[in-house]
Amino acid sequence: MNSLKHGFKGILKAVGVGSAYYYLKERVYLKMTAVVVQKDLSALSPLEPALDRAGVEILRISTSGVDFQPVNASARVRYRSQERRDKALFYLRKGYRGVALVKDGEICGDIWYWGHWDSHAHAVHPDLGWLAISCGCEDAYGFDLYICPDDRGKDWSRLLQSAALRQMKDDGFKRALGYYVLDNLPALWVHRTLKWSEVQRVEVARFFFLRQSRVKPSNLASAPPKGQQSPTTTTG
Amino acid sequence: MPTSGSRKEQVRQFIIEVLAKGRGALAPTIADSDNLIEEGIVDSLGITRLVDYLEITYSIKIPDEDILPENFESIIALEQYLDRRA
Repeated sequence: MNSLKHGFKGILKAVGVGSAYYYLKERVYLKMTAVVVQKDLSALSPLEPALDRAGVEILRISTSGVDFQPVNASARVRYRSQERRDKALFYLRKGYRGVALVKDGEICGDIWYWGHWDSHAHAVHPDLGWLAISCGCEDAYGFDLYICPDDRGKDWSRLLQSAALRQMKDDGFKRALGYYVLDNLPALWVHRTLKWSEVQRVEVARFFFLRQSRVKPSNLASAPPKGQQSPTTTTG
Repeated sequence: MPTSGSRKEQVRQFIIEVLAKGRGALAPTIADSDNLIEEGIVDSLGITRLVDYLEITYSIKIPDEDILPENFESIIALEQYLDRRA
């Protein structure tokens, strides 16, 4: 139901800015190469100097720490973007964990991750199946990094992702996993400058709700062992 | 193709006037070895502008496997990369 709600909101937003054609085209047919990456969490650089320079702070997202309700006296911060606030509530209900970048009491960016931490997280993150990622008990899967449009171009993506890596480590994880779309140059750059290493490339094609993914042949050697995950998956 | 020296100055000017503008970091002068990534000049948006600029100005195609920090971290690194592509 929530997915439908978000999808409908997306269409309305796209119509509002005159890009409905591109929005619908992407929904109908999509072809891309996803690059699955990993990072060892044992050696991370200190974050504080970069935070001081940027004048921002980092916050673990929770229902008590963020003003999700109309009246919440204990909350220190609130979301700047209503759409992002709704998404955060959706992710929290799923049992995902989030890290926010806060400036002047407002959340201007966030990132989310999933891992085997408690009974809330019993449902495996849907990305893992179509990306053929084997996520062990010591692995966290990071996804959906967002920075408010007004705050882009300040190098905060790297800062936020670094903060998420630190949070994952504090939660006891040893390795972070994630992916970026090969054509997305900003995402590629953030991952490469933070020294993520490539695990495998996955070709993804989607027609309406039918998605097919295939680990690229040259990278099959690094794919998960047979039996754990199929290198070709189809989801409807 | 411009000479190596003039190309280096062209790239420097682009970085100062487009990427570093308004940041207050390093600009208005950027030395050959200044780290453009650590200074936040070549960030996730900066790399897009820089790759576009290099591809158009020098008529080259930069493949994704070349988009590595060691190729873009300083003016010297950029110059060496462009030399290899010449």
